[in-house]
Amino acid sequence: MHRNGHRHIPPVATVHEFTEDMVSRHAATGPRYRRAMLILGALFLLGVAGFVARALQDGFDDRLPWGYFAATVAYLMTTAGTAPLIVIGMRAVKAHWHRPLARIGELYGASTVLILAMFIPLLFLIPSAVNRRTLYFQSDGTGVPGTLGRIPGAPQVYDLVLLAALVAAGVGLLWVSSRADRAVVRDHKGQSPGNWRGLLRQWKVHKVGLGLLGATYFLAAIGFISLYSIDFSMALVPGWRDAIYPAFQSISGLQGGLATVLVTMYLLRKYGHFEQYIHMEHFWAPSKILLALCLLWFYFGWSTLIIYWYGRQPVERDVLQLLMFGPYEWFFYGAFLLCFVAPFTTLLWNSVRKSTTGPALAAAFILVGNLFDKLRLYAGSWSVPNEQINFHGLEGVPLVHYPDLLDVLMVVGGISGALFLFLWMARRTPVISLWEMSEGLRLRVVRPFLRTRLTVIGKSE
Amino acid sequence: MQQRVVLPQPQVNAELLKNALRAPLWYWGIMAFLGAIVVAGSVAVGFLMNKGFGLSGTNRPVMWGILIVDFVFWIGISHAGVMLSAILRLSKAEWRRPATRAAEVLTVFSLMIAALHPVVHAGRPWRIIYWSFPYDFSRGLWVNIRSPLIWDPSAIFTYLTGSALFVIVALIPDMAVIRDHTTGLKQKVYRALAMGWRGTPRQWKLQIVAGFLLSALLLPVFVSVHSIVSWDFAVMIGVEGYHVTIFAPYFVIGAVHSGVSAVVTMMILMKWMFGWGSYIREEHVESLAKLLIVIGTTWLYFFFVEFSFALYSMESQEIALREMQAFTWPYWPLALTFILFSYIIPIPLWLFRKVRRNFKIMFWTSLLVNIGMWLERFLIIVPSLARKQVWPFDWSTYHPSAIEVLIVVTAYALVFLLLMTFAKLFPLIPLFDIKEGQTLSDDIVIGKRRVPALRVEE
Amino acid sequence: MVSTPRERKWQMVVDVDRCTGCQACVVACQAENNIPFNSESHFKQGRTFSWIRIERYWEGEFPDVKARFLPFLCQHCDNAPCEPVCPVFATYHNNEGLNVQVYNRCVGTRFCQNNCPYHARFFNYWEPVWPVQMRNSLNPDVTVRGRGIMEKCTFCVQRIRRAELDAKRQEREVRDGDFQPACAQACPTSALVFGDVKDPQSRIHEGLANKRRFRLREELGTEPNVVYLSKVDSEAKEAAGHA
Repeated sequence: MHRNGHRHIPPVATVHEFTEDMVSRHAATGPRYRRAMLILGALFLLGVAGFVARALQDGFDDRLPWGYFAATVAYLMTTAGTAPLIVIGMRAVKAHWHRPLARIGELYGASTVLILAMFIPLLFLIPSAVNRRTLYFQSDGTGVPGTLGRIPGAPQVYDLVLLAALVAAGVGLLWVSSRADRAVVRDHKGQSPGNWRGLLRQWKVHKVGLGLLGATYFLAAIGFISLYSIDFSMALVPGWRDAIYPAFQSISGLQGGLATVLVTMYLLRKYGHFEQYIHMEHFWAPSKILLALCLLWFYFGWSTLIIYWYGRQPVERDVLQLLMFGPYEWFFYGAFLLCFVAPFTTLLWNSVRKSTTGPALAAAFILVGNLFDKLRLYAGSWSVPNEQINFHGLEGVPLVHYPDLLDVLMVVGGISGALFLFLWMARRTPVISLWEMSEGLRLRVVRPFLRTRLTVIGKSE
Repeated sequence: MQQRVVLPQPQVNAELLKNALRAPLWYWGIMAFLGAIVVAGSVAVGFLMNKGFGLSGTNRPVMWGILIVDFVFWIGISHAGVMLSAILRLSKAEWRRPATRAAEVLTVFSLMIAALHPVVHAGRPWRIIYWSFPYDFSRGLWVNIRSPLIWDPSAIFTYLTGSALFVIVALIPDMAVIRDHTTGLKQKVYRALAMGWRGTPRQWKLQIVAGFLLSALLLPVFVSVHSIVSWDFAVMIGVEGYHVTIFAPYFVIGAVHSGVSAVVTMMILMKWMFGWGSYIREEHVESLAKLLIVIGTTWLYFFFVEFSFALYSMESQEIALREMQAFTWPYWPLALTFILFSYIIPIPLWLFRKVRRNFKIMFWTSLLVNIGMWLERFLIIVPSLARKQVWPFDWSTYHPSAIEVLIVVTAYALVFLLLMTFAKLFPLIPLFDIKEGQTLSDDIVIGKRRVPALRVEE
Repeated sequence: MVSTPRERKWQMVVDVDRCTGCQACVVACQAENNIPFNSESHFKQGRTFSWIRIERYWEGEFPDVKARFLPFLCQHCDNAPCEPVCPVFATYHNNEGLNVQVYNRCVGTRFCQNNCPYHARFFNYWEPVWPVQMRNSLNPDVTVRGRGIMEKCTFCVQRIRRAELDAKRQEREVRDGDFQPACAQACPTSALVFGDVKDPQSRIHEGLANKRRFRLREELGTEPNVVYLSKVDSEAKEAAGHA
């Protein structure tokens, strides 16, 4: 709070100043950027090499060696893949602090291309859904009432279609949203301005497009996370029937997405020197949401744990063993500590939230914790032997499957690839949304009120 | 487009305190009517205790009947208060202002009534307090903290204490206003209640801080209450339809869905009864309806997941249970009504701006949601018990008895009676909140357009 | 002189193959345990009491139908789902493997019956009434349960206690065959065998060692102490042999 009347109001730049500054920054490419691109590119290539080596060495018959790779896909989906969700959501509720974050989240929409590329090999690794407990209730028609008979293509085709829709919406969102900005950049470079004239009709199309693509992206992302978590982990473990799990993974996705945006924003502010536009306020406001998401992460996870724990059925005990307290217990403890305990205890304090480092630190914890979480879930569920897949419950908990060098290469390579795509696209469009910031600057004035001065923020329809 | 309405403060005082200071005749008519129902219901409860719970329609294995359904329903309604007040206060949504008090008061009263249900429903209600009070009176035996029925009262009373405090903290400035508008004994009472409120900056600051702190602390409590109520069911392995991990968030989101709808119903009723048209405006109901679209759709996602995961098991017993819930007499008309009322009719209607801004349609559709949600709880609780396990020999069905129905009706009358009593004693719309909202609103002119704006403290 | 009594764990073996569905056990239990008569209105209300009951299931399609009888009673689970849910500890496990009900503590939440996968628990919806003639015929060893509480099979705990007292008086251990629960005593085909598994001499071991053994809904992990021996279907066997 502002004691003794001392009030710090961040300086409000004019729209013109802001645009000029952003465009001139965009034109210059620093050595730091080139170095980062080089390192990330090299790591990504190593990851590709790891993937090829794994494919040659183990083939696509056995699931066990691919568990960590599947976890990487889930991790990327719940961090980079969900970063645009945060922007879509905040835009929908008209939170005025979303403006400098918006483009950062949207840029991660480009990384979904990598998720799609990594997802395709996984399609060959999961067994058919027939006569198995899946969301598709399929059987070959013998005996089980309520099943639907054979559904062509389930589950692979549906998952693939959702992910393809997600990629299309993600890339489309970035393209539509940055259209006006790219025109501005072109104007300043003196190039031909393209189709964008800034007509009223064009802005209307722009608004509708953002709404539609945002809605598509939202549905596709929640749908894909839900389906991926069911088809690619839960359905592989006999006896694991956990209705909250897809929702838990979706919440984990929102948490990871917001954490990704916050960490990126912090790095951008620090190394890209955007202190003038990214203020403490832009960390403070989302940090409260991050805190709520940490609590939700715990709540959704706890909902599973308490039901299984209280039920004490042998089937349930085995699933808890496999995923939490058995072979992958250290991953689980790591995830619990870093997705809930550490960020919760840091974000609990307003003095921590009300800074740029505090929320970024908590977000960094979450990014690591999320990785642990995905590793325990996917390495665990992919280590169940194929012959048990139709059983009522697990026949003994499988032994721990440690990652080898190839797994490490693939995990690191996947993450680097996503970042590489982000940075690469960041050169193609201004990294802070010009139109959205300009709109914000116009809707924000400082006016005298009684004996003090207050910021007045307009909320357009 | 929000229009800026700035009313002079004396007018705000006079209009919002109208009922509290001088109630019209029809008010007493309603009170008498509700009082009569409550008396009849109390007699019914006494009769039930005297003769035995055999008077209900419950049997073996449907041991829990519509009183438990109603318990879950009222717990659900009680989620409106904190959902609206706390979340909207923390997120500084302007349109919360006329809704907060009503929502909080609804929380307190519906929680009280909800907590009565399981007591009335027990075999020996007179022993409950004695045996389940969490203190050992030299018997050498404590309560069984493993039982969700012990978690329940802890959660409910924590929530009740917290939300009552929430109401009181927000009431203090208004009670000072009433103090200043009354004389004699009444004034003495309100003077005591206002606790020396003078409206100094320090007092305001403390009041605001207390409101924020209570909001933040009550949010986890509010989630815990309905989660624990859901665990009354979900921890059971004996009832296959209950043992589902999604129950906790599914119940919470369902509760919020019905609770916020109840607030919409109540706000429109308040507008009609007390003529508060200049405070409860179209944009408030519209914002609530938009919120409800999001909540309702999230609820639908959970409903869908819950339902499909019963089929996921591919066990004939569970599939048969779902078939019964959805397609067998007497459940299928209930199931159909439930899904139509709680989602398919209201939500698509609310997508239209004209509907959202129409008080009459909003009143009836929000009422539909609650009818649907009551049926949802019934469909979760009763059929699962009737087809509890794989032993068809023990299957059964359930018809509520007249006395159970009377007690359920009484619960509604009692909540309404308590709300009306509150409306006689205190303003149902917070005076200070309305005034604050008027002070903070402003607008920004861009080109030819005037954009509504807000003065914020940063 | 026995200073510390031997550890006990009571179990029952139910041989479904021997069960003829005669319901003698049901009547014996009713008489022994002061269970109110199940009147027509009790049946209509679905509120009958039968601590042990014979569930009759049909197997096969008409006209090839076979009646199957399954005697049902409280399974006295080691891992009883009814116990953790009771808010007032009215039901708990004693050190003899019995799941016992403390009538005085019960407040009638009926949570225990809901969580019982075997429908083994009964709620007293009404004050129990008997015809006047029964007034002097109730069992003095068994509490008459009032309205509003739960009750269930106790494995005739009163007989266990009586046998213990008798044995103590004679300064010896309780022996197998000293007593039987009412149902086992009444069973004409000896389909029900009750005994202490910690007693190596007990007749129950014969049944426990049988290959036909199974327990009801074992996959729930409730660890019931009632063991069933499955039906031997001679006709099916013959049919299989012919084919």
